Amino acid sequence: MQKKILIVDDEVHIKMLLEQTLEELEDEFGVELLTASDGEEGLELIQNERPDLVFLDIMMPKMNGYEVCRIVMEDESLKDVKIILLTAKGQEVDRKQGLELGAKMYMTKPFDPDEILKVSKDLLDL
Amino acid sequence: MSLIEHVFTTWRSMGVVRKFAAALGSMLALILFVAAMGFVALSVLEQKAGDIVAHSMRMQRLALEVDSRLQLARQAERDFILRLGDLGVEAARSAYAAEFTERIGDARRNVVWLQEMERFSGVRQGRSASTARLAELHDGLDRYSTHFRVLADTVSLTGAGSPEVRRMTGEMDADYLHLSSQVHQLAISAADTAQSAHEAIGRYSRMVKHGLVGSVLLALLLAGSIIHVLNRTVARNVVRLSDAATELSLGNLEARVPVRSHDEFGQLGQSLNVMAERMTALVGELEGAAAVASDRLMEAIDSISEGFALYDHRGRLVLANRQMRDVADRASVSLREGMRIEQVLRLLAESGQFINAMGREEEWVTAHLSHFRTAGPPLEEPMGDGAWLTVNIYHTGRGEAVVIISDVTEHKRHDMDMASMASDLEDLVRQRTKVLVEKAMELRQANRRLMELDKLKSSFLSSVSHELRTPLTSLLGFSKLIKRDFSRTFMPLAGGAEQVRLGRRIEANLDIIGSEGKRLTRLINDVLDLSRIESGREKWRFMEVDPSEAVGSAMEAASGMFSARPEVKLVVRRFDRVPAVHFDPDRLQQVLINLLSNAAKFTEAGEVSLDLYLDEQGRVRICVQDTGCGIDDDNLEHVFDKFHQVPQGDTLTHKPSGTGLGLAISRQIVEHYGGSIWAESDGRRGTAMHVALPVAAPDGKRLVLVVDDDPAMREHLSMILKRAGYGVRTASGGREALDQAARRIPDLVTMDLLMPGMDGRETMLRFKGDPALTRIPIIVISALGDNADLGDAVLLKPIDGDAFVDAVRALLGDGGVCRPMLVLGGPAGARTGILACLEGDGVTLCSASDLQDLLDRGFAGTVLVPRSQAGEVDLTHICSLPGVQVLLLPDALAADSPAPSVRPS
Repeated sequence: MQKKILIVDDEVHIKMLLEQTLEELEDEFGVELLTASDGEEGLELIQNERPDLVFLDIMMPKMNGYEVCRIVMEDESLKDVKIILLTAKGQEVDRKQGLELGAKMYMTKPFDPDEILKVSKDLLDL
Repeated sequence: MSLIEHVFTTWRSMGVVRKFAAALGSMLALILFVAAMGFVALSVLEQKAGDIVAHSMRMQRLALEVDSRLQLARQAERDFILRLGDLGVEAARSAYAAEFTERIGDARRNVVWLQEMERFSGVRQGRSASTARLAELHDGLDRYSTHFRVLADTVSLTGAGSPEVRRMTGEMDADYLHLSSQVHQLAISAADTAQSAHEAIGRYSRMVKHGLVGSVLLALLLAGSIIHVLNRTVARNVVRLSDAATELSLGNLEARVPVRSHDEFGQLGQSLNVMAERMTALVGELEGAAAVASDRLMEAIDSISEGFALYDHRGRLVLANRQMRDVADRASVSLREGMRIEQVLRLLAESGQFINAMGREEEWVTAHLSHFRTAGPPLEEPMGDGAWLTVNIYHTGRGEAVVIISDVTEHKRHDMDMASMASDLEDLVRQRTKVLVEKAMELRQANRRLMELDKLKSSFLSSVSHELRTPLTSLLGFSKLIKRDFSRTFMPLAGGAEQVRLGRRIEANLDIIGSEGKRLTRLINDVLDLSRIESGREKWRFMEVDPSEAVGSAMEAASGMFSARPEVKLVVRRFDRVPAVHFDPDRLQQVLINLLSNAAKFTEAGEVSLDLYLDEQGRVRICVQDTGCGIDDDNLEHVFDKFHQVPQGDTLTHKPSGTGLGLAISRQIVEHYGGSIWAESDGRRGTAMHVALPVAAPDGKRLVLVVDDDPAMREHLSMILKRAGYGVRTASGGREALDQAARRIPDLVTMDLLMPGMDGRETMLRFKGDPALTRIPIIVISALGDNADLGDAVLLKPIDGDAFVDAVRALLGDGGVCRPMLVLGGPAGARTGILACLEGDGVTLCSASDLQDLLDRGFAGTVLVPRSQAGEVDLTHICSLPGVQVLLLPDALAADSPAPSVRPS
């Protein structure tokens, strides 16, 4: 079954960076890449497409990443969706809050493309 | 004479004790002397008596002996005469003459003995008479013997019957009678001698009696004189001393002690006399001083500018100084000692000098009298000549009254001037106050603005960091992607050396972008870090940290840096076992990594050495020493300033290679945890960075071991416990928990059930199986579905902080309940260990239906449910209620504690 990765970020460049980083998986393993530019769009895509992995920015217009994460975690039908939170914040409190919500990981900007690639492979069992 | 004088001098110079000793000695000697005298006299008497008795007895015995010999001789003579007829002359002669001669010889010998005795006897009386008698006896015997021989011869010539013979026989009879009477005389004289001896003994004994009486009289005389002398030297002296002391004590300082002896009494008397002299001198001095003081006091009272008067307790004037008299003179009143205060006041009132008294003299006098008696507040009196006086009354402890009158004319004038000035001043002050209030308001506004600015700064920093991070992410990410694509796709296409060289340069430049971007990231992180610390928003964690672990992991983290630079070696010089410190382990590591990386950075080649030890002040000391270029003294302190980097030679060629914030942050961190950090540098030969941290004191707090594999949960529970005043250690798994417990036995354990490796269940079994740990109460932190049948209490997630603390306190017997508690099942439920220590109004026992009721009415607090009764209530529902914490009590406990101590409310 084709794996899906969803990238949710309002920053075009970050979205591009992640897309280009993960292109390798698209080419190699046929992973499908989806993108969304705000929380609401992201949530809609998650609910419709049920991606395996979501890179979720926290500070976004319309609905922030925590909110999206909380809704996804509360939805029993979405329990297989793994979420990686991406944020420019780096404080311990933020990290704790994120992990308590049920996110798999919490990555601080600036992140290393190689790391993104490695983590994605691990979480998707590729 | 001189001997007597000498004795007297010696006696005087003797001490009292020696005098007594000497007197007693003399008495004893006297007694001994008298006794010896008596003894000697008696023994002499005894001897004399013995001698006399023996002598007279011998005399008598010898006299009787002589008498018996004489009778035997007479018998022989008789027989000779009588037997002449039948024996014949010759035969009678041979038969009796010899016997006669022998008897006479015996008698003569006895007489000679008596003569000898007489000659050597000590008895004088009648010696010459008895000597003469003995001589006569001796001669008589000779004659008797001669007569017998002549008789015998005559008989043999003439025959027995011749007249010659008869005549001679008659002579011989006369001889014998004479001799016999002599002998009798002798015996009588011996008896006389005994009589005279008896008389002599009587004489001697009289002599002895006289002697003894004389000795006793002499002894009495001597004893009397000794007593007299003692009385003179001791008793009289004591009386004199006591008299003198009594006199002195009665105040007669003239009294002296007339004791002149050199003994203790003499010394005592002298001391007393000296003392009396000194007292006399002292009293004289004191009297002089008192007179001077009194004069001085009077002068002083006269010299004060105020009028001064002293009235006794009956209101009579005792003394008044010159100024007081002057005031009275102004009113034409002359003050005399002994005047009554009423009299003085009346005279003053009538003088017309006191304006207040004019026309109402009586009232004025009454007012001043009451003022005088009550010593009320000072009274002011305007005078007719324009002067102002104030009258002050003070009462002394003895009921006397002091009147002070001061001239306050000047003050009054000043006061009037001041009054006009004061109103001006008030206006001024009012104006100033208004200005000040305005300024204060401005300041408050400025302060508010400053606080807003500070908030703005913080949010600016955080948003700037966000805004900077996002483009940095793109920058770093894309440069990496570019390099990847370039290396993979374009480099292989490069034909020719020039293109390859250019390709490599592009790659190198992309690396530079990457590394510079990372440096920028570090800078942002440091700035944020520092701003958080400085603004006090940093949430400091306090944990017990083993410094050796922190040093170890810091060295591991820095090892990459050192392996990249083989010319710099990292050496551990000293690594002692040190006690734990209170610190945030991440922060401690941050500081140590910073020090190590600085040392590596500023050492071109050489070594960086590290020491860990306990210094003399008992602090944990970590020292990182490099062999780099060193820091000069002026800059040693500045290295901890923000953005300060010591200029190294040419600033154009040596670019600073750090953010310049590392040491500033390190100092903030170390000082926050009560430690200190400083730099030492020995000229240009390297730098030593020292960190000294206070040892974590064993604080006497109860220790709780939090066992959970979830770091967030550990953190959360630790924080709650620390806030409640407990010491906390944490373990991320069963094995670590056992390790921790072995190192220091905790007072309580909180246990997560689902853990990787050794899970909670097995850990608890290990705890309960270890005799050292079996008594430690364990709280199981569990989700509802878990089968939690071990532990002393089970706290169901989600955890409420206060309820958690309540449970911990209850299990530790600390008492005190933060939140109300409902106990399901009534007394049966109460008979559990955890409840034994819960008391008070916060605890309510209830049945299942009561519980439901209370919950429906919005109860917020802890619900204690014995496991056996868990089925009676809907735990899922209760757990989901806001503000309600469920605590399950395993049944194992229900059997233990004997008596419920919970009072139903």
